[in-house]
Amino acid sequence: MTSELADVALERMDGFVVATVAGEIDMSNAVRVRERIAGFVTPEDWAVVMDLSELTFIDSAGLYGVSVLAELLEERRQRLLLCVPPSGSIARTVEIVGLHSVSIHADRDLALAAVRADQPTSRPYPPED
Amino acid sequence: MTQSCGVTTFAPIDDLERLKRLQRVSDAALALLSVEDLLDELLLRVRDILGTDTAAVLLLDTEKNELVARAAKGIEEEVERGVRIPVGKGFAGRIAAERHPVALTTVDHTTVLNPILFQKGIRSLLGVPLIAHGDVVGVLHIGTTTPRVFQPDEVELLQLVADRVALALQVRLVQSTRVVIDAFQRTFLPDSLPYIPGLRVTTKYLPASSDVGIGGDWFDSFLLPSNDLVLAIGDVAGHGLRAASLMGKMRNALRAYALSGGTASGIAEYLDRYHRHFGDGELVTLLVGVLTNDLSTFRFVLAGHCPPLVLSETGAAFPTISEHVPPLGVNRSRAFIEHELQIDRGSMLLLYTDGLVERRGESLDVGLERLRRTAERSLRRHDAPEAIATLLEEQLEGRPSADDVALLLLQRQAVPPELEFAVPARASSLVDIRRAVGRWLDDIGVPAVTVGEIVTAVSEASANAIEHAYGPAGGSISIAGDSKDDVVEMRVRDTGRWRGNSRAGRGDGLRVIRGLMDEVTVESTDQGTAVRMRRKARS
Repeated sequence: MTSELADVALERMDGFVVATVAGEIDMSNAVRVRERIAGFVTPEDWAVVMDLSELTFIDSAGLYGVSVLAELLEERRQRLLLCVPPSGSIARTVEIVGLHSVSIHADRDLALAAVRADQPTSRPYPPED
Repeated sequence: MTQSCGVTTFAPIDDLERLKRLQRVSDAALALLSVEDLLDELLLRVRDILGTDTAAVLLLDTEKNELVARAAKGIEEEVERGVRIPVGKGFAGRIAAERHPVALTTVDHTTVLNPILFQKGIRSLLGVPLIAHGDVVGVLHIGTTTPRVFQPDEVELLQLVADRVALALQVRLVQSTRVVIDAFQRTFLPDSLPYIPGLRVTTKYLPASSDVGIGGDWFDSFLLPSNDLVLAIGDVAGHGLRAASLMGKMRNALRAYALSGGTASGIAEYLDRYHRHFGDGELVTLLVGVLTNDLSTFRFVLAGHCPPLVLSETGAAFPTISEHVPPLGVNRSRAFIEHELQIDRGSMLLLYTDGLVERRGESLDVGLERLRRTAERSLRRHDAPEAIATLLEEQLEGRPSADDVALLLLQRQAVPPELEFAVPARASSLVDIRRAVGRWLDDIGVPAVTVGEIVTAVSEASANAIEHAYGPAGGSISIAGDSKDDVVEMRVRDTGRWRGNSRAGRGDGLRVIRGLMDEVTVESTDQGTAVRMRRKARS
């Protein structure tokens, strides 16, 4: 039996979290992946960037996990951004399922730029740039 | 030593008396006793029959070449103190080394190694070897506290008793060792091999025919998280439980290193280091290799082990091994060399231990060439288990092998024009399904973009079946595919009853399938559900 289908790398940038998921997400590990990311996010983070550019497979169960995460974050006024390379079966699947309240970007740089552009100005402890 | 006064000699034993006495040690009831009880009972009877004060049995520890006191009457201390006598030394050691009876009429530090004997006041000793199937397995001796000259017919009788004891012991030791060995083998040889569509792995272990033969041959085959397949086969020097337990250690260490590294040379490097640090200097031959998850390439390392045999369209051949690396446990001057083999569809790879090729008084090259020819003949004609049976029969020419034989046959199946397989209905099967379907679509030439989408659709349909069709008891789902005129058709079937959505948000599966495929039908009956999906291979 294979141990982990997906590898989740989590890092905290200034005020947001970048979760890079490599490998595959299906119904066998969707909940685990979601919980790993959700468990890392603190109330101080205002956004999560989920980078799927190294992902080779995701199905509707995996995307359901993504939308649950988005809802969870939304309740806490936190945003979820997704990077999905525009060509390939993952982009197709994301398009068919249709993720609401998630902004989708073609690559990591674009997603990071979007996070920073939207960064709220009235944060309790603004980062020192 | 001159015979002093007061030396007792017993009257010669007549034939009838001999028979009666012998009867007493070959009593059928003894057959039911354990080794310990049997020895105790026999010693009591021997002491009684021959009118002696002491009787003891020492058994040979073949690993250390020492005799170990196992049962004693009148000199129980021998057993309690765990007396060990090297073969060739002292009274018992001499009997084992010379393989014939020895009588002593002087018992002191010049004639015996074990001081208990003279401390207990034993004046005369007679000992005979325990011989079973031509091998010395121990020594039986009797003693008297009064000086006594044992008569030739008493010596003969004791030898007869010893032969019965040796045989009875042998049977019991073989039985009990067999039990342990069986347990060892169950633990150390993998009982189930990974399921990999497109590949078939068949293994065989043949114990050595001689003695209590557990050899040190072992093999292993397991998947890494990357889905690369690790194959290993090796031979630990020596026989018996010691070799078996070393084999177990090597197997476990190999698994651990494989999991943390994943290359053949890395595994061999660390295993060698492990063995030279923790081992006892035993030599261990090893072939360890990693088959890439697309099944195309086998990278392997040889350490004093026979080369693998590749069977392809063009025949059977050994890879060219330019440099030979010694077994693990030997100080090496250079690193392990990783060899690479391409495994084409329809090809086979045979890994084996030297018991399959080696014959006494024959060079290894002759044995290898015989294997190559035999394999070419027998492996191509049959299905795996039958092929292996034929190979073994022809290679060993029907005679039992003196060494044990382990072999592992890997067959990469030729591309089936149609795909069909079944997997257990559980979430962890999904990844296997995707690999198998992806490989098959690749094989029949479907473009990569389309492969990804069809694989996604099949995975969705399978996930639906796994989630909805079966209760906790599970079941299986079958996947089939074929292609006609550039249209690929995939079918996912289960035999369960549709159980309705068990989780919110899972209605998306069918939507994804419909979105990715050109034509989708879902048929649900009492017999189960079949999802049929069609898609143009090139759009």
